[in-house]
Amino acid sequence: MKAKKNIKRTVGALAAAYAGLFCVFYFDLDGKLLYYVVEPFMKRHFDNMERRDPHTVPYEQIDSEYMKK
Amino acid sequence: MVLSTELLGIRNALAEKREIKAKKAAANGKAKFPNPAFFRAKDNIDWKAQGKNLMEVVGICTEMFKEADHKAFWKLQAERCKDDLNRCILEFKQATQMSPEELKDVFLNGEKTLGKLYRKGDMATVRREWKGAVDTAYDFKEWLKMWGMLLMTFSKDLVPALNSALYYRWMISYFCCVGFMDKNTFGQKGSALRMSHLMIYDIFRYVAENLVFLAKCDKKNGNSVLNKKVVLFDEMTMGQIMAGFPDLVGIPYQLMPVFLVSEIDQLTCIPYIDAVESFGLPADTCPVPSSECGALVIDALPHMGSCFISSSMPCDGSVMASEYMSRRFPDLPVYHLTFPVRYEYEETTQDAVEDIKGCIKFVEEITGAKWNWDAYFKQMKRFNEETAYELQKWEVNKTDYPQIIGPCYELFRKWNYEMDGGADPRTMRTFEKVNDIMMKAYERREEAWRGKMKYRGIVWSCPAHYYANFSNWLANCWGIDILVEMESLNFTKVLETEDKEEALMDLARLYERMVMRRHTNGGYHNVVDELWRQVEDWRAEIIIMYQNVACKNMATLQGILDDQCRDKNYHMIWIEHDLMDPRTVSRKNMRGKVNEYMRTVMRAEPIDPTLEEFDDETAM
Repeated sequence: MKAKKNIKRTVGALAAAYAGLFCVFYFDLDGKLLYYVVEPFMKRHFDNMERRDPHTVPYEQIDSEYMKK
Repeated sequence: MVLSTELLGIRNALAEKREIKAKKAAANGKAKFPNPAFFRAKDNIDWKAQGKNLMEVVGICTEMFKEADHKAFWKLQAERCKDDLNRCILEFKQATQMSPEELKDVFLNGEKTLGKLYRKGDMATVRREWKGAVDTAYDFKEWLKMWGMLLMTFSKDLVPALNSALYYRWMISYFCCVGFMDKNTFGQKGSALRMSHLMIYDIFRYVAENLVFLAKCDKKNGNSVLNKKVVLFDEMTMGQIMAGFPDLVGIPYQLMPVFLVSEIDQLTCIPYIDAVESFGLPADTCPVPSSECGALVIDALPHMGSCFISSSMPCDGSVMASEYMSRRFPDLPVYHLTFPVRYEYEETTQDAVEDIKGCIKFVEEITGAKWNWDAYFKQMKRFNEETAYELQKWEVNKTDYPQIIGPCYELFRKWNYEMDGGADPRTMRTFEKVNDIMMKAYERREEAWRGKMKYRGIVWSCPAHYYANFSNWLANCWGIDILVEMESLNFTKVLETEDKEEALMDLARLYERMVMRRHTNGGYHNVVDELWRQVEDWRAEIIIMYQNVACKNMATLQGILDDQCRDKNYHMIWIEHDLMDPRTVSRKNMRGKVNEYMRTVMRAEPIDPTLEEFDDETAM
């Protein structure tokens, strides 16, 4: 009886997981999360990062100094 | 953390055991690809610096969270949800208005109009396509498989990969590769869908594995010990030369940060192009070398590798990119592999062979590895087999029942010919499976694009990266089915696998005929006469003639192609594009050229009118 119950529960959980994942797939929720949440968030992160500005590096600068940047 | 002697002993014993097992497997020809030891190579991460970096990232995130207009954000999300709900209600209403037969047809065979999946100003589709019960289930399985593969591959060495994702803008675009897979399989069903999934999976597996290697070897992550085994080569240089160095890793350097990502996300290369143009490069330069240089200018390429093999292929744009590369990373030894362009004169082949020998010597000296003829011949035998399968695809597509069409096939062919080159034994299984499906579908006389097989088409000149799935739209909207692309029609000679000197001659011939080089740089005979020959061979009714507005070589031939096409009475549609910069000619403008031609010249009506005009300016 207990084993039957456990099997039922497992099958139910698997079915729920399947249905949930199918919803994510069908409504492109993975894409929406990436495009509407992750992407704008990361964009702001990248924009805030300090990076080397190539325009401030003089053309004649020697390579070893350039590499330090 | 310091390990006790006992624990160290256990770890060393385990490593030794693994090493012996790997050597045994290699001897039996069952070696895993890529070598699992590459993933396990020590990372040399400076954890203290990483801790500081992480704190900085957390600080930025907190600041962003505080600064964000949460009200506006949630309002926008609520509006999107509302719109989605309205669409669901509308679709439900439409379904209730259908007759039972129509409803059954949609349930089993999928929806007929695809334009409704796009929403103006959105990057993602409203929902995924309903391809019919069986094919949607298959699509779902492949979606799970792709996410599983991506997560499993990155988890092989997660920390460097995460670091890179937080540093390089382009890494984020790869998160969207599943969406790219959807765009390439829109409208495909049955055997065609299965073949497309098999092929694109192999490409993304290669990408994911190489992204991990890039991240591990990057100086920002401590230059893993693996770095000493990494030979970088220009993305336009074929990978076959690495077949003779099985203990090394050959990585097409700019492929991941520039070339391939620009096909996944149309907006990726814009910062590169803007950076290099404000650095002084003329705006009419080809966007491929421009983007490569721009990536160096804004520090978007990892600092890694033991050496770099540059090339003059397919054109002199690559030379310019190599010069920028040398200036940015002067500590990286460079070998210039420059093959003669007049490759049709066999007497120049020996020059190319000498160049290859010089390159092999260079790699040996830098890395300490030794060229291995057995490994080289083994890989080339596999590559020959793959070429034979490719020729089989061409044979089938030349018949009245072409089976393998669409962007996944085009991308797979180019990737296999240029980058894989028989290196990955797993690709062979894909070839076998695809061939099996294709032949069965051919025997059943299946329609590769169900209900959308109206015109046989051929693509000539180089296609737009930011619209890699253009042939998918052509089939879905107008029923123009692209049987082959110019860039697929490369060297198909069986490569020598016994005589060493002749093998190098063949390798030289192969390299000289890399993707695009033979046609766009080979002169009149290779691009004009060759086109008419191929049109007859494939019995193409429509020629999709791409015009990369920055390609000087092809621009010189426009008038000649126009005149001869008129004389021969072929349908040729010129599609202008700027390769990696969608701001010059947008996807919508590219579609507009076809719409105009089909309506005015062909007097045709679209198969799917919802795809004639839609907004995807900001879509990935």
